[in-house]
Amino acid sequence: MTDLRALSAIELADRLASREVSAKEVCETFLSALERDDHNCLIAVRKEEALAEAAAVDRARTSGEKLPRTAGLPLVIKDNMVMRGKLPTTCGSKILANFRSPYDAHVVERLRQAGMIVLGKANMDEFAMGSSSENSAFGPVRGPVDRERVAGGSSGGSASAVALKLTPLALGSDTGGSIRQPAAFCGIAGLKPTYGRVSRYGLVAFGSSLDQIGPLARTVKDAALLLGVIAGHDRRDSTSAEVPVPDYLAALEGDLKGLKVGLPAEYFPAALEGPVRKVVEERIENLRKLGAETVEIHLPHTEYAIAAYYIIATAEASANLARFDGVRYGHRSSRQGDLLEMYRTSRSEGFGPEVKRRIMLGTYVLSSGYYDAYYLKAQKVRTLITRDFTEAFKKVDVILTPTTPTPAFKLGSLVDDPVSMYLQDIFTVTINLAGVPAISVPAGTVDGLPVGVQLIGRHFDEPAILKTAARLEGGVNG
Amino acid sequence: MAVSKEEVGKIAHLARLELDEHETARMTEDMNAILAYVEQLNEVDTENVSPHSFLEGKETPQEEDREAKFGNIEEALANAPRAEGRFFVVPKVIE
Repeated sequence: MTDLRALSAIELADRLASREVSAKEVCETFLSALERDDHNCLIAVRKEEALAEAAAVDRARTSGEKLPRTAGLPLVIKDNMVMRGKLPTTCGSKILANFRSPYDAHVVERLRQAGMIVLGKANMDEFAMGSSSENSAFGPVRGPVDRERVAGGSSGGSASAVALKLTPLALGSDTGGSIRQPAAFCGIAGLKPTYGRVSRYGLVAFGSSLDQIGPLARTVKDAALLLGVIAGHDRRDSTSAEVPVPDYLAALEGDLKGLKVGLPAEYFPAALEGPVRKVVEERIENLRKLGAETVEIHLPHTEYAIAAYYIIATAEASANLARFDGVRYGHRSSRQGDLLEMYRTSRSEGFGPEVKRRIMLGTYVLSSGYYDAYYLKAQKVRTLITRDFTEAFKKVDVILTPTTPTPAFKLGSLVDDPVSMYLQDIFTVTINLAGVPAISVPAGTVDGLPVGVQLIGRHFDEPAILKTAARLEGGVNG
Repeated sequence: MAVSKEEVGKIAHLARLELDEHETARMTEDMNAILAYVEQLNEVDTENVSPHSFLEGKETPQEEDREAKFGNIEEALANAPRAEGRFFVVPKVIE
């Protein structure tokens, strides 16, 4: 019998469409794998509702109804996307441990329309703040290759679950690298779409000018399939773009002849670890063999990206997280006191240390007397970083970099050192600051640990990075 | 620029967070490490550079001002730590 877990999402979709396998069978297979998971990938498994939805897909298919290609395909979603039903939407936080959303996020509506079945809510760093999925009120996620190492973060549960074949697909969110870095650490593909490509309606906000939802999958083709389901305009997110959605699967066809690939010198510093550099350089050589032309470019403001990012992201976070006050939803302290004390005690009991640190930093950089020196300065530097990309994309079609400076690190090794933890995002945050799309695809391994290569595209040019990534994934034969 | 423990206490008040003595000391240390790191932005010449806006070149979308029903009052209230009827209950605000 075929091992359903080993199939790609596309292969599963084909077998579901031809009724070779039922949605119920597929759903049961992955649910039982998720229930046995010992990597803490999920915060909650969505069993009853998923099985009922799978049965409904089977009935519709048997009765000859015309269904979307994706009908019956299962996936998991990061637990910061709200979903109506029995399960809470926790954001990995104690403050939302019992929050049951009265509405669906836009992406969840899209998944439902596509007949896809949500199997559970993936573990994550609290409010998506972290690079290791250790900052979760529900315990850390363990890496799929080495249990003593992190899965990356903040979408670590989504990435680890896909790598362990507990689900064919997952959705994550990416504010500074939170899809791409865990994808790299777990040896899978992860795409952060262009800012505005996917509606943020119903995504619990962290840094609103940076956040974007995107797919994680074991193949580029599967990521393209899922992007097609979630992309498109939604008036409830005022930054959602009214740009037509191309056929991302069709975009994967064709060769790379004449494609200009930029290699930014700033992303290959002397300090980049030798083995990581070697793996990435092998992939660059592959691209050349496939007919692409490589061009050395410069993104001169790269070194300031982390500093600008941590000011902007924390400022936005401190404003966004002000809504958690113990009044309308979320944890309220049982300690007696007036309204102000209730706010303070509820928030202090509900938020974990990293979230508090970022709220504090954000409040500080926005406070009177410091706004110009920090927030305004960071926003100006962001303009320069964005211009770096605009200039570079006049010369090249895509940009290639390592996704991370190192493979997955040991659990616990960076938790007490916020600056070192933030530096994990050194190759990924610029992309969110500029709003351009980027995908991480597996490049190889270092001491058995996966390493990713990142492909960055022009605004809304997901087709170019998907096509390049698909050829890279295929090795020298494309 | 470095922050003192007193300033951290003031920021905590603005952020509606309660930090004990140990947490304040730790937070002061962490914030100073991060602020020392972001100092490097001062090296960048931003004379005549406008602050970034992700709506650059785009119009802010307008929506018609129209009354709409809020769909799900019961479910929304079910999330409240304390509710009575159609109201959220908070500690007494006015003496």
